[in-house]
Amino acid sequence: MMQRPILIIIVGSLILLAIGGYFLWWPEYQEFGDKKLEVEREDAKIKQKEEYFSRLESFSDRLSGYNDELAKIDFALPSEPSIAALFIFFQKTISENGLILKDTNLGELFSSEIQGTLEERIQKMPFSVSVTGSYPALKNFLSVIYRNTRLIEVNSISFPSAEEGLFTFNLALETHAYQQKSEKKEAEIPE
Amino acid sequence: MAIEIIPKGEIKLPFWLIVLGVFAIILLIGFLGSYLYLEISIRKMSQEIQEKEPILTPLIEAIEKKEEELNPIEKKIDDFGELLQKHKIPLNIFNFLEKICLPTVWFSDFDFTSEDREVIVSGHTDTFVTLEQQILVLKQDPLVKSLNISGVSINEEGKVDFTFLLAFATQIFK
Repeated sequence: MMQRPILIIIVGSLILLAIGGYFLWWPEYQEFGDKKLEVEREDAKIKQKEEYFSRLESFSDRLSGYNDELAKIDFALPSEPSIAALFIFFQKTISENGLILKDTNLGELFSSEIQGTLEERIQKMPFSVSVTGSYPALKNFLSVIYRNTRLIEVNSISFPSAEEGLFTFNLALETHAYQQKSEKKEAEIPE
Repeated sequence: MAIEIIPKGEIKLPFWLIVLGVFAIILLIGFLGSYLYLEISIRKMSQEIQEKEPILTPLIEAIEKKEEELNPIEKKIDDFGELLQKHKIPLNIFNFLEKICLPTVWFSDFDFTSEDREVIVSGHTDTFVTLEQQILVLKQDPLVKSLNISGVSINEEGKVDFTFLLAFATQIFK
């Protein structure tokens, strides 16, 4: 006769355990799993960011060893180009190569409208020069222009027939200015 | 009347009931123990996550700062590289014309446009045969993409005038 209440207690306890397991233990277990994943994710995120930062640091260190090259790039693509310096350079180069400066149209450089849209970081600055001299002198002049670190482009060259070996060369040239924009490269930040 | 105490008989439980009871107790202990463990672990991990936030925020800020410093330099280097690749050597046109020009051919008026890689060059030569040979030399050269001939005539001195429109391949500037 004593068996019955004991059996009821045991079976009741088991049922209560099953209900408790389903409504208390299982959600707790799931939350545990979620939190564990979250911790792992956070750890991976920190590790990834630390690695990325260390890559940036090493890139920055490596870059500091190229100061001369960077200075040359800044000279080739100045953000505030000096038109006077450019004119002096041309005057000097033209005379040094045995040419005579006949006419220049640097006026375009002074005009506020620099070619190129705002989206374009490199802005073209066209100008023209007219010089008189011999054909070898022109070739020397072109060679110097090509080697110049300002990256001067020759857009066109024209000259009519020579009179006594002296040509009048008309050159359309182009130099560049650089518009630096401060924009973040958000897409490249690893998540 | 004498009162007699009847001694209670020992309660005998069946074996299966004892097993079931022990099983229920073990299950209960396991349930409570694991619940407690999960609860403590969750609290510990939540705290851990909260502690990671102060590490991550300055790291992100440092990355953004470094990128703000490096991105403009990287872009400028890339832009410069692109510009350098497009940098043309117009001198090569003259060297080319000097190389392919036959001894009895003279070039005079010259007009070169870099964008189209085109040269309009006028000249004169002694005979039509020389002109034909010059055209052949030009046509055979891989640097010449196309050749148009116009203004072919005999001038007052009896020489053959001509005008070439030459279109060059991109390799001419390399």
